[in-house]
Amino acid sequence: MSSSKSISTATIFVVDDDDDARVGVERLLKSYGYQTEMFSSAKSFLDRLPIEGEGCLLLDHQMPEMTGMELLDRLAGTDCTLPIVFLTAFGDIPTSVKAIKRGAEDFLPKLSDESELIDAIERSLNRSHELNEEVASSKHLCACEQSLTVREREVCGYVVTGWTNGQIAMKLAIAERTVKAHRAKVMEKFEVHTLADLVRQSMAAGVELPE
Amino acid sequence: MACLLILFSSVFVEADGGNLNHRDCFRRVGFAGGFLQPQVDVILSRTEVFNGNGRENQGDASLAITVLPRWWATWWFHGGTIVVLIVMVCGLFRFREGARRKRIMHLESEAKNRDELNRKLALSEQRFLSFITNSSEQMWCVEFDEPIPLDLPEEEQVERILSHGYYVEANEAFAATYGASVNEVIGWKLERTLPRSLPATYSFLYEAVGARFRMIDAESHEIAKDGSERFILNSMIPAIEDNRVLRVWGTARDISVRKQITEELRVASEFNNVVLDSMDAQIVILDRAGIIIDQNSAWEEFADANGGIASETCLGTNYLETCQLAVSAGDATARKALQGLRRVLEGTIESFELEYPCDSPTERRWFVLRAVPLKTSDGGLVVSHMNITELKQAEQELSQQRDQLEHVSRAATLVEIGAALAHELNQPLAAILRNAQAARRFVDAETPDLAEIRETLDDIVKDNRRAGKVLDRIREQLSRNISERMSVCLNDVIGDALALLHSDLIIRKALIDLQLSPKLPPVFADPVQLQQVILNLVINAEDAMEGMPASESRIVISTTCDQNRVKVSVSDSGKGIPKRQLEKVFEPFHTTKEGGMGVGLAINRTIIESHDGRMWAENLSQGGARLVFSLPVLTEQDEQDDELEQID
Repeated sequence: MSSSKSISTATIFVVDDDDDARVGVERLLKSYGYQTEMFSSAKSFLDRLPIEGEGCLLLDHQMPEMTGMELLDRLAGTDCTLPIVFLTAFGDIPTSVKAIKRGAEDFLPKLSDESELIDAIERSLNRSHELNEEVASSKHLCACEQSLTVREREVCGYVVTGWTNGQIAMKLAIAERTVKAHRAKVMEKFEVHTLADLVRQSMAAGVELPE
Repeated sequence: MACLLILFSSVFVEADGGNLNHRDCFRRVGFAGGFLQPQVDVILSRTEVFNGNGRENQGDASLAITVLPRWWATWWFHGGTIVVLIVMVCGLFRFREGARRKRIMHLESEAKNRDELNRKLALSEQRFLSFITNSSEQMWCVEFDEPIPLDLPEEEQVERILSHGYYVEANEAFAATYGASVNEVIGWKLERTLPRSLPATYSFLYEAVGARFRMIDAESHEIAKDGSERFILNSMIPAIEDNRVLRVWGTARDISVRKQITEELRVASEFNNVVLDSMDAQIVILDRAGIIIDQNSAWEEFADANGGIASETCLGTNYLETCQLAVSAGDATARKALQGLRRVLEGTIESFELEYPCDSPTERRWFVLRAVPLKTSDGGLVVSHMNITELKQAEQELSQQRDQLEHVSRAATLVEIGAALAHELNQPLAAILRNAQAARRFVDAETPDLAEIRETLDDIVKDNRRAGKVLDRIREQLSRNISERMSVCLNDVIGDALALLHSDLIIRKALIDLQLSPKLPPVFADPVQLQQVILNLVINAEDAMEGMPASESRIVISTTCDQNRVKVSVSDSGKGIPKRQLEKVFEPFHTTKEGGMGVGLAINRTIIESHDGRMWAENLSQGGARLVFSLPVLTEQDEQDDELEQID
């Protein structure tokens, strides 16, 4: 077995109503060392939510009851961030455009080449990884922001807006030294050393700016 | 001469004694008038006298002997001026008195004898008359105003017979033939019963003249009193004197009824022959043994034209034996025909019909043989052969056209569900592709897992078969133009049709509810054609629900069986069909779909009706339409026919 380029914890979810086609694709993906999870209908996949971790979804379009496109719409309303590779019998343009507009990562005909399929999967997994990391960092920042005291959040707001320590002390009617102490605490909590870094992190964390 | 007679008469006047009483004489005048009639012309005479018509008559003379003397005397006495003449006569009388008296004596005795003879004669005559009058034999006598000389040219004689002949005698039987009484008939001119307007009159009279009025059983065509026609057989004998025909005696027999019956029979037979001959079909009529007892001209012509051996095809030959000969020679058609004919003869079947090819050296021909029993007390068969080549050709052309149209319709249906079919093929192909790709990777592994590889290859084979089946179904719909009927279960047909439609139903998101009767008897049908019907009905149902939410789109396909018919219905939950169009939807080119040809239902109905079935449309009370067709359940007869076809 050739090794997978992607992170080994990633799972590939496959939704296809056709048993034979599902077995075939599962076999191929396993030969690449991917972890797979198979679903015979859109509904069974929805039942599986929520999905943690990295991975991607190979979604067949033409299915009874709920089509791939409908599942795409339903997933838009959830916090499922799996990149989706959309599969149809033919590469018809209107369907592919629709799928991309609704957030599909990629669009492939069902009879696409092996390499095309694997490339699309790899791209999706990378994207998933990125998304995961983003989520992780934003979560971290959130935690940082949450750890600020009310005064520290106030001071942080004025700092990133460009106020000097003296102006802040005047505004808040506290000693300039106290402002400096708060400022050092904020820098520490956001794990930054420069003002520029603090500005970026506090913005990402959504610190409120003063009027 | 007249004077002489008067003299003679006068002699007798005196000889009788001469006491003349004029009153007495007048009475005798009347009497004499009676004696002047010809029927009393039986008395011998030696004198001659003129009768009232100025004609010489011997009989009259003798009357004068007894009657005239006083009459003449009296009459002339009253004449006054002619008295002198009487004196002269008297003088003469005296002169010859002796000889005259002697003679008178002699005559008187003779007259007595004659009276006796006359009496006997009258008696015999009366008997004879009575015999004739009462005879059932018809008798007649025709006399001519002028006797007809036999040496005249025939035309002249015939003309004279007609213009001078009249009936003088007839008996009751004869008169009755003409619907008249004897008195009426006597005196009729011959022309009255033998009118010149009838051509038969002349032929009859020429025959009579040619035979010199002596004939036996000569037929005449005559007219009765009421104008109706009579056919009479006459035997006649003439009374000829001086080579002149005075009168003709004859007997007659009325053969009108016999003649009419014969004529009616002739007309009926002629009618039958004309009807038979006017038929295009070649017809032969056989008796119980199979011998040809009648045939029409078409049969003769056909036999001639096809070089039939006269002894094998004409009247009097045995048709069944001829058939048997052909059977012995290995003719399969003849074998079937012979079986059928025998069964009709036996009364096992009411009629028999057989279509068979009978090629001439130049063209392909088809004939139909039909046999029905000859419903007479003797029994037999009426066998007809008819050339139905043109009919057959037209039928074949029509059937070809229908097949072509069906084919186009099938192709159109496949195009309509093309996307779905592609998807249907795509699934197994995708499975094959991915399996093969995986297998390639398994093989490339450092330690290939052979079990895994085998399993993968098995799946590839399975998927390939699945793809092949899809193609088979498509090919079946496209490639077949000829209808082949067999025992078919409609549930299977529905299953096959839905297999083709599988992806279409997915794409169109229609839900199928199958309500199939588990114990459905088979029908005798072409499965591909029926598949086509189901395909069309389901696609129509899908179209009817286009644009409706998936939760409300439902197609129910059901099969039931009642009273020897299998019923299939396909209902949708669409808007239904406007009531006025329930029948119209089956008309060709009636369409409500954009881009539709409007032939689907028309072809469906044609297919179903060609299977002796019925198809109709109805609306459901809960909304939506239902299309239903019913087909007769397969019978043993169908199976036998099928087997026969296969043997052939």
